[in-house]
Amino acid sequence: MIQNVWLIPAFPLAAFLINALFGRRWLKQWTGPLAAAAIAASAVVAIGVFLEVHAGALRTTVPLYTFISVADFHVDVAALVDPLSSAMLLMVTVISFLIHVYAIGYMAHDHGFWRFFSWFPLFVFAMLILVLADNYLVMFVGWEGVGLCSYLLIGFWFERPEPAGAAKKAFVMNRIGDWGFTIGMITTFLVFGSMNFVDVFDRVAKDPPAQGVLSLICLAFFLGATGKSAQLPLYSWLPDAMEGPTPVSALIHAATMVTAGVYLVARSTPLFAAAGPVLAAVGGVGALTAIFAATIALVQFDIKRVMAYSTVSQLGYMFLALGVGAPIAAMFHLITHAFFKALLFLGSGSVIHGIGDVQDMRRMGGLRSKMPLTYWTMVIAGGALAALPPLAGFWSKDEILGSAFKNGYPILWVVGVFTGGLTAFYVTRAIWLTFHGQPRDRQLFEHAHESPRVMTVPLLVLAAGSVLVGFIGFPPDNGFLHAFLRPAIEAAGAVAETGTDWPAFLIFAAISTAVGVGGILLGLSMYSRGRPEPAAMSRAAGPYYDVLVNKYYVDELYDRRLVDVAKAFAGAAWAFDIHIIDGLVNRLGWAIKLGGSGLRRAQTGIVGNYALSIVAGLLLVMIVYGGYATGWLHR
Amino acid sequence: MSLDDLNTVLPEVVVTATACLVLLADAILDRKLARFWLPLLVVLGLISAIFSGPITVASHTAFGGFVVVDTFTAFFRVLFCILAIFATIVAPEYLERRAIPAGAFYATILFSTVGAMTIALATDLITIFVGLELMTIPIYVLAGMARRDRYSNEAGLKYFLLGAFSSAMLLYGFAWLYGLSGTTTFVGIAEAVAKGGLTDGATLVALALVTVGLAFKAAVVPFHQWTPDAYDGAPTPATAFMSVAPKAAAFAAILRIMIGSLGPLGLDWSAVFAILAAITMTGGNVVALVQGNVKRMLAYSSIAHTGYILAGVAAYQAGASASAAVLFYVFAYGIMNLGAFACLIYLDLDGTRGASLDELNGFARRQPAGALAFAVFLISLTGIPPTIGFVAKVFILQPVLDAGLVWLAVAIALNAALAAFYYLRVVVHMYMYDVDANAPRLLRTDLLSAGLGIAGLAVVVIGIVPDGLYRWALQAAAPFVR
Amino acid sequence: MPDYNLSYFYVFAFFLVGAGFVTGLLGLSRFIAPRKPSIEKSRTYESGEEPVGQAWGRYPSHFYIFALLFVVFDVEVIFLFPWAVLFRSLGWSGLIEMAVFILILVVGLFYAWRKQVLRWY
Repeated sequence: MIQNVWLIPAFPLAAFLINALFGRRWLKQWTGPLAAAAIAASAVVAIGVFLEVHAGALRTTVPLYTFISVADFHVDVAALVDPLSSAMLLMVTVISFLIHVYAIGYMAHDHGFWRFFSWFPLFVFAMLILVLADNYLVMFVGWEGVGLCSYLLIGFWFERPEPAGAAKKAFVMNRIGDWGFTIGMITTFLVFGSMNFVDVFDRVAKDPPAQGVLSLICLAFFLGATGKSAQLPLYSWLPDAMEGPTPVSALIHAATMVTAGVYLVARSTPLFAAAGPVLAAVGGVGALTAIFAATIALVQFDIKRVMAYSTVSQLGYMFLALGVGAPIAAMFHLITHAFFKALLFLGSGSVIHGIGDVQDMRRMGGLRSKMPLTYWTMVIAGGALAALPPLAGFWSKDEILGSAFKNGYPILWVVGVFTGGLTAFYVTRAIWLTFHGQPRDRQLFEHAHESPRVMTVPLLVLAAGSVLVGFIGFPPDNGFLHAFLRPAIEAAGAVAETGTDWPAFLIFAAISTAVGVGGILLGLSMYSRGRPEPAAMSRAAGPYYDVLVNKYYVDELYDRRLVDVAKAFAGAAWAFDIHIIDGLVNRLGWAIKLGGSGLRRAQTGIVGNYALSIVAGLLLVMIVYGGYATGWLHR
Repeated sequence: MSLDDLNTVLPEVVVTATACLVLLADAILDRKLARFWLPLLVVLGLISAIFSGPITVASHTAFGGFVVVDTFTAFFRVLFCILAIFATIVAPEYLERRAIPAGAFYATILFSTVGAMTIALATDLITIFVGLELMTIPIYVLAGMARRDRYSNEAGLKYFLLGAFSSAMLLYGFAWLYGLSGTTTFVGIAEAVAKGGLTDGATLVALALVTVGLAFKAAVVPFHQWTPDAYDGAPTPATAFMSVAPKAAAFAAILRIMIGSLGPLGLDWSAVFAILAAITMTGGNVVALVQGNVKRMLAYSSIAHTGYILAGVAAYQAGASASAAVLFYVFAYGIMNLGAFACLIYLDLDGTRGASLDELNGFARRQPAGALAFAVFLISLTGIPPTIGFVAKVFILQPVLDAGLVWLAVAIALNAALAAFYYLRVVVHMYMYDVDANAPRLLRTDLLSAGLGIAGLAVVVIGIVPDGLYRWALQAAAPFVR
Repeated sequence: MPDYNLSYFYVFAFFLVGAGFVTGLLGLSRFIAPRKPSIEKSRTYESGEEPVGQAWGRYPSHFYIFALLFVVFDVEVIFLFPWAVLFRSLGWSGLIEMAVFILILVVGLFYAWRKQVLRWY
């Protein structure tokens, strides 16, 4: 099966090509099932690959595409199949498949149906290339592909100005990150003479370069990761990306795109482990992002925005884990998060779909009776997000926090636990405002309806996943996932095998669960009993509340200050470009065109002239040959 | 003549027989039947010609040493047959619309193909000259085939006059070579020039005449001036064929003669070829830049491509990779250039005129499939991945650098950038501009679309997996490796 | 310099002398001859007749087809003679080859005939 790993990206690519070419005219509504079927086929292959890796094929390099292989000339692209990539493959394909199925229902009435299902599998394809890459260059191709597809999909409803703007914002922010990735990639090549993961990591282990160089590379890659994974300071595109259709949000937030940064750092663990201080910075940025985004999520009223900030916050947890030297915990959280966050998004989408494209929670309320299935699945997902045992989020988040404390970062642990409380609070608030209490908009409420089967079935599957998937990490620190991933990461000497430390686990679990339950209880009492009254609270918080509602004014800061500076800089660059570079190019182009017109005039159309020019050419050739023969000219 | 001799040239015999059959069928069948059967007959004949010859063979001479079949021959046989098939598939609807006699058209293409194949067979000056003439005379006819069109007449006549002129030069050069060495076989000439080198006037004159004669056939600047007029005036399907097959055959002749028999003088002629290559690509591109007529622009662009291929010939000291690069580029050029010209067939304009840029405005909306194919061919001609044109340029650059011709590699890169401007301008006009009110009508062209679709797919697929073709080209170049 | 090349030198010399002779005479006549052009004098010489129409006039070209066919069969005969002389020594294969050769020409003739090329009008 591993030798057939190329099939995994091939299916979505084929779906993209078929839908893009034949979708508008012939396939129409069949584009959706076709795309879903393609991803399902990929998922089946991914399962096969996963099983084979589990059976002991620890590291296989599979040539995906041989460009040229003749004698001394080899150019090819290969896939690196190891536990890390196979786990990612499985997660990406399965979650993407469920989202595809869901999107068939969600997008059913959109006139751009075929267009949607052309870009959607392309998005998955780019992500799979990113995951499968065996070197930084190919990873970069996937990385850019993901960025491009997110641009296309966020701006899917490009007739409206907001999605178009959001798409642009996502693209620009990602470009800043990509710049970092490029620097890292080029420096890697200059330092190691290769961009191949295996070669680079071998070199790092045997013959490490100077610490400063290594730190530079890691910082550059981390900048790339912050762009793609929406960390401080490049996070602000992600909440805006909500302007895209909800399945797109789900795909971006759960399975693809944002996990790319985490995957990059996890993949580069040997590099980061060797560049000590940078790793701490990664953890710090992660923790900061986690609490920062969680506080914003406390006060948002757009249901998808709450989820978006929650994603930013949870990604912060993953980077925190990477930073404290627990890449397995990061991957574990990545996988569990994929399930419950996809579920939260699809659930929100189901609500939005059911009440006619309204996202403001202030106009919802009491929807529990109208859409019970959505409600219960959302509750499970919310519980997982709030890390209630024994749901998926509990196991992974607890492991992150435990690792932070054990590996000597008590401050990060405190931040993480506190953020956990905030998380529990805002998810309770979101669910309560949406589903409980009195309907605040009668008209919307009357027309609300449960979503069709094609949308609810994926919800149920994801809900089951949100409950069960945590057990791949059970017992804590020593579960199936740990045994599976350890060889991939241990190779770098970064992670040692540890047994389960039950007493410690129980203590940490108790503390964070208590904080989480506290958050939930606070949320319940505030929104169901009105004690304390939310409005009063926000009044009491006064300016702090405003700061949160306005998302710390980061967008304004970026707009006013950075964008102004950037614009001024761009203006200067533009002037330089116009006057100096373009001037030169224009002169050159003008000269070339003039030359062209001149030569064109030589094309008289008269045969005699042509014959003359042939004779003249013959004489010139003779003279040159004669020059060579007499030694007058040198070859 | 023995049976073995006949068997050696079986593909050529099959193509000739097909041409005769086409003429007979055209004379006997009524118009309706002919419309369907003639192209089918041509395609079937060409396909059986491909399969009647070996693909990989050890070198095998026949007809008392006048003819050789080796991997090189096999490569070009297949290439010429493919080009003829392609030219046949894109033509019928156009011929019907313009009332050009279809049977004569196909037969002429087939006869020209036989000539081109003969060039690939040659081990002797006489064979190669007979092949060249057998190839070009039908092309003169093709160019003038739209008898009622003045530009077509002009194209045919000009091409004929200048072609005869250059053939005379080439033949004169051959005569000098014979005078020098007392033999017409490549091997004998190679031995003779290896002894003398470029020291006496006779060798100099012979070398110059042969260089110019061959350069004319390949449309090298400054011997190119027939090209735009002939390509522009000829009926478009004829242009499509004559822009590729004779050029490919000219390069087959250049490789056979310059490397196969004048190889000992390589140091001298490769330097001249390098200069000619640079002049040719630059000249072709610069003039193409100011053309408003797409057909004429493509004519100049084909001159520029001659320059790129010639650079591969000039780099012949790099060994097999240089000749293989030439073969690969010729193959790539054949498909993409024929395709690009054929895309102009969609537009139903009066006479043999090609479309102006403005007439292509919004073409993508009116004929999405055709526009896509055109865009693919143009992108490939520009040399942008993932197309065969990109790969071909990479293969050319490698031996050019290996041979130490860094300046020529720079010239190629600069020219590729320059060319992007006018190729992509067409794409912009097709995709970004609104349809003009007085846009020309479109021909109904299912066969053309099918042919272009296959070719476009081939351009992309070989661009992604060029390995097989390149290996084959390397094999085909083997006879020139010492 | 071997006399082989020397002979080319002679050719070249003849070429020069010939060219010089012609240019010289023409130049001389231009130099010494009186020139008084009139309309009569500069008119096209048409064997004493009054010139009719332009030199660029058109004329029917149907004859070229017959000329073409004539050349084709003329050349065919040129090939036939040596073959006929050696008929016995060439044997069957010679006969078949010549049959193929003539057959190809016949196909051409048949085509021309069917396409109404031979009709006079």
